[in-house]
Amino acid sequence: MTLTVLELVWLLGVPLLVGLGLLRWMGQPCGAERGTTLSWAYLVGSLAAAAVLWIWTLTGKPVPGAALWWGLGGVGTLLAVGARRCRAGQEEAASARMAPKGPEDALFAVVVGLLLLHVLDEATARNAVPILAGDEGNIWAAKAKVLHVAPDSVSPAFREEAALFVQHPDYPLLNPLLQLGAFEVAGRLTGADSRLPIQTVMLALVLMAASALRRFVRPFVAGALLLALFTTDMSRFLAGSAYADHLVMFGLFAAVDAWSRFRMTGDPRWFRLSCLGMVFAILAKNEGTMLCLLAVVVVGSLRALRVLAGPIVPPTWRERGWLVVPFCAVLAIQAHNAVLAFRNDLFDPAVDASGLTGRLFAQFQEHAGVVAAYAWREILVAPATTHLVFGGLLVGLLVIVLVPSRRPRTEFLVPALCTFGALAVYQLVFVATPYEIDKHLPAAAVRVAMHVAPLSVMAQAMLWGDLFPALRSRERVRSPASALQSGSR
Amino acid sequence: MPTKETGKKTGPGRVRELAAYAAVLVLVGWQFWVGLIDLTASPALQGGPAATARFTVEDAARAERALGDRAAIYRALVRHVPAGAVVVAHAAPTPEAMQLVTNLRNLAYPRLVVPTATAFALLAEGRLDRPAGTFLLDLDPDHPLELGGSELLEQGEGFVLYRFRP
Repeated sequence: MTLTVLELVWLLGVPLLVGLGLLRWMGQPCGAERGTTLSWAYLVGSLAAAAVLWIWTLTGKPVPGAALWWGLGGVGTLLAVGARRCRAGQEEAASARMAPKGPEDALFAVVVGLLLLHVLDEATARNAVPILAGDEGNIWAAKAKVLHVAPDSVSPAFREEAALFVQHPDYPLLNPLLQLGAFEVAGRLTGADSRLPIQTVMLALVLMAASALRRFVRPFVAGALLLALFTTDMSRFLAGSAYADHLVMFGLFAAVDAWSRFRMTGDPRWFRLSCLGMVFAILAKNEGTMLCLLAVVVVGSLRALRVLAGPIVPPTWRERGWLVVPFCAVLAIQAHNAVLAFRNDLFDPAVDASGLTGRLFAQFQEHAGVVAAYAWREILVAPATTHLVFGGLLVGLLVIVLVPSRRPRTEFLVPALCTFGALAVYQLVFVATPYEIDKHLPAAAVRVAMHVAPLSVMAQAMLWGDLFPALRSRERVRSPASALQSGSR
Repeated sequence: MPTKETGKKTGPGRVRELAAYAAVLVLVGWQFWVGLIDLTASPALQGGPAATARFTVEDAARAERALGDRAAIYRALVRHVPAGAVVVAHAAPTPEAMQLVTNLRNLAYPRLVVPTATAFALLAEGRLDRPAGTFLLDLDPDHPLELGGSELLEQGEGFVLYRFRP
């Protein structure tokens, strides 16, 4: 660590400040819990900071990086202080704080606190060593370094440097841009400090998941699901790293959670935040785009088949216009790559002329069995590797089949189908891998499966709360939105 | 099936419900337990409140030992090679040597460390013509490269650094 404490606070505080300001400007905070508001603030602020840094590099860095960060901090302060507060949100927050708390709530608070310490601990321990290798070094930090050193991010000089130094220079820019923020605050390339903005995402995910799960189940069950999710080996690894996989986890979970809240409350602010969650996932990794598309298809299909009731207040056309934002994020990545002539290796004919689909059919017989066995052993039914965060969902489906008298609401189908759909698509990608299957699976299979692990525990929370009243959240029983929902599907 | 008097279910349906509830409780309880156990494996909880600091110091010391050669080579690179220059790294084709080259590559940027095979390909494409110059880092003294006319900059344990003058 080479940053001073003040620089550290400034590095992480600016996105938080900008996010809080933007949330207020958008009519937030409407979440009942302070932790969720902080998580959302970090998501929105990181997106804003990354967008400003992206434009700054595209335009040839017209001002010094440190000045840009100061400017961002100033705008964030103005927004946070000046923007009007949302009265409804304040009332909601006040009523939540007044809700009676028991020993089980205290236990839950201890679990969340321990998990936050656990994430901080993993991050501190890892930061004793600089970023040297792996995806964090060769892909994400490498691109951030080139962005810091190059005069811009569109010239042939940048292209040449990125092509020589960065593995997969076509990958989306959120992670490198957040690391670039650390370099600009420090005024130089740093060894480990650029991990910090990325590691903070895991803290935000813990808070957001804690809030989301408590909506459906009582504190003990929510605590168990959180413990299972955030103490797996892969979660611990990601918590300390500057990989982009937990950025995808965070963005996707935020999008689905906000959409679920929008459906329950009809509050359009949640719809906007759901779109921003999708943007976060899309800008984190290409898998984020695939997962968001999958989520949209799942929701659209369930609505078209009338399996899932719509939100209690349908979105206006103005709100639906926010769906353009994730679409623009995809276009922005594609346009930037097109200008620089960067291509994804999975689809690049220069790597393999047969392409992804061609390889899928050609390699299916040889790879399918290996991939399926690995997924079953290391992902689905893997107590040691994944703490049954996926296996638990299989148990839930089994309960529905074996005990037909218990019928959960269909809301759980959204995170459940996203989970199983994503796992299925990932296995197909592994079948069609251009690399050696025996090396590709151990390197990536569990890591990419974790993208949907938070959704899997969300689906389990929904299921346990619906199937067994004793496990249901008291808040859900009391909530007026819940009463409205119980009459719908 | 519900009884007429109480409305409560009896029979196999009720048994299945109870069994399912018990199974879910066992699952959730196990997840809670295994999560707690794994939490205790985290560095801070392993040895009490001071463990984080101790771990960091120990880990740093371990990292320094592991860095050993890497640190010396890194210092030589920073001392002799200007930013923007290319460093062709000649190393034995072993996983350890390749890892060393990768680590140096990430540490030494904006000096561009490239393995020999990549360097030859880039030379053939005319892409190694850098104004800041080209250097050669020989990490395989057992099988040195022929370096006619190159200027020796520094020699350390297990490495030789030249300015490359083809």
